[in-house]
Amino acid sequence: MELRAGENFELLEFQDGNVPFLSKIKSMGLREGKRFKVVMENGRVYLIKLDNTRIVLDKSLARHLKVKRI
Amino acid sequence: MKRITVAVVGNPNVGKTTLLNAIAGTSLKVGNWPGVTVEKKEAFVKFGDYEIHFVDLPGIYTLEPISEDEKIAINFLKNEKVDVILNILDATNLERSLLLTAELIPFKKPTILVINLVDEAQKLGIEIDENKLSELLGVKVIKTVASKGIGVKEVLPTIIEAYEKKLIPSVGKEVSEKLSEDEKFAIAHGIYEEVVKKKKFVERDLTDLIDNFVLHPVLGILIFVAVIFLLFKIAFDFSSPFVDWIDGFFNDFLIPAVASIVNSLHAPEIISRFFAEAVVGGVGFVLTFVPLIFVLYLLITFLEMSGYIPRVAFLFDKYLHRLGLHGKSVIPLILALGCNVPAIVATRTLESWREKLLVIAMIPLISCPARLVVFSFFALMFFPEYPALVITALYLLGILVAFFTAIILKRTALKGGISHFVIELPPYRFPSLKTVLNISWIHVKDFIYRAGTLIFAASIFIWVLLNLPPGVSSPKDSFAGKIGQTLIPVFKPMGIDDWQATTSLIPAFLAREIVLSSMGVIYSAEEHLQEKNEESFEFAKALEEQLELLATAVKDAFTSLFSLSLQTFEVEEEEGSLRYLIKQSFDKASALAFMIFILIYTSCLGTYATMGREIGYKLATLFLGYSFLLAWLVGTITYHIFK
Repeated sequence: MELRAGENFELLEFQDGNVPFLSKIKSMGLREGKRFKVVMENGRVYLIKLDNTRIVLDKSLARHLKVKRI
Repeated sequence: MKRITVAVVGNPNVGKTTLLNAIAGTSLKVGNWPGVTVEKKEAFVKFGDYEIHFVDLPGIYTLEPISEDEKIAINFLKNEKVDVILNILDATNLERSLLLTAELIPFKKPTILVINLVDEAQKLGIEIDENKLSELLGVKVIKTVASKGIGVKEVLPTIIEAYEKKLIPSVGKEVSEKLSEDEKFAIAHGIYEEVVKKKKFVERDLTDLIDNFVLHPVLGILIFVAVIFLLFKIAFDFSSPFVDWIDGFFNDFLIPAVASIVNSLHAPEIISRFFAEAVVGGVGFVLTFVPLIFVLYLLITFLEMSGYIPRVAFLFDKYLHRLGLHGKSVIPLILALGCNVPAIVATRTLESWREKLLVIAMIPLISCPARLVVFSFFALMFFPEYPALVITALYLLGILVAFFTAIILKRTALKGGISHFVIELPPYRFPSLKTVLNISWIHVKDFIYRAGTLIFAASIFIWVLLNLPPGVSSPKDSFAGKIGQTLIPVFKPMGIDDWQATTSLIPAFLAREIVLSSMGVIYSAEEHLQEKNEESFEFAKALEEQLELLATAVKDAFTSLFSLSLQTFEVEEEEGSLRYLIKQSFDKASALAFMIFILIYTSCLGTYATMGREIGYKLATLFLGYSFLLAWLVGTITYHIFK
């Protein structure tokens, strides 16, 4: 599912979790079961907010996130 | 006295530096970890019978070795004699902070937990039960607001208590050396659920509100332009009265004072000449710019700690990635405005070698205060009607050449795609002024140290060359003059056919501002040959006069902040005799060419050495050669256009 600005999502799982960058976003707090909001997008990147953390991640990396809209 | 080592561990942006600064104050030192260019902060603090050695480990989210930062932290904890771990947690993000705490348990070291930013957490409706946390892990827990000094006093006695009583964290059961992802998460999540209470109704998050403007695709860019304008406006206008005062203090007070002492002692006149020409002419000249550099560092450190800079990366990624650059490359490029050396160090946050190389090739072209010093000197002298325009144009030219270099490299040697972009945007914070002042002071101390060593040595060297062979009657016939004259053919196409200018470029490779100190030495030596009026010098009266002038400078500095225009360039500079002499050696076109040469040529030993360490000396030398050729070419073209 595509992420869209202004909507809330729950992370179901990481697809193809071997990308080294995924372990970085995991340690930043984005894990399976976490809910987050896509605050905005700008070109090739999203700004997401989970708990009190704001993380910028690019769209090609976001493709590895399997999410559902909530 | 017992010496113990305390490793300070925590996530990025939890206020580790601020806390360490609040504990250690001015004993804080900034250096590099051996072998790598990751910044290392450490401090020694005496407390009771102990000397406590604090080592600030890089801000990390995990102890898994993902990048250089984590590797340094793991190596330090494993291989060094760490007596106590000071684990700093973010009250607004406690669960994530506890993930790192969980990873520290297997080290079995006395530990204390400091929960920082509790004021921010309160605003977000987060209440943390520190007693419960202390009970669950079996260690001491302190709550702090480091930026306001709240809770900081407890840290030192608690460190000693944890050390003496061996308060080692545990979760009731034996944990294996290497926790699995799930174990780590279970520990952190379990503790988090027990100690944190969240209120339903919370204040609106100010950061979200500000981000609506700062990250807005159009407004955000306007704000960025305004921020950069204000940065330079304040740096210039606030510091310029102090710059003038120091200049006056050296020339109207120190030189006559030394001359009168030398006279009264009947010491040889060469001593006062040495002082006036090599010490004040060289070192003093460069030192007059300390206020400018201090204010610029202050503002850049402030921006860095406020949380604004990573947002610029988000904002500009859209444009930069079209040029083949990562949004994050904007961070080192902004830092380069402060100093190229830490900017090169900051490229370690870029994940791919290709991107790192691209940005390192660009950084030396971004103008820094050392260049600004040279530009403002020449621009005020040769373009008194519009110096601000000339300086802005030079800065823009540097940026343009930097992008040109990146595009060429991207099309040729450094083809390839851009790596992923992941970065955290910390909440906006008003940095603790004490910390900002202290960090800026560390940089300024380094500049002064350089003036006292490198620049002093270069000034003496030039002065000696100017006075050899013994008894030389005119500086032109001295060794320095001869060297300068041999170099003239190289610089003649740029309109520089004056031996004083070419000679001053040689020692300037150590640091760009030396070009001015060398000119200072060379031209003062010339000036010496012209007759000078001896004036009587009264120490007390002169000192009183200097103090009065200082008071005026303070007043001028603060009033300048209430105007929006750049005032520094509105006042016409009075003509000192030194300035007058330099003015005769250049015309507008050659002065412009000279400034462009100084802008583009990587004439800075510090930058070259840091580049060498980061990417190898072969590549660094290649970039150096490239910058020289480009500088010469652009300088020559400019000269012929404006001639």
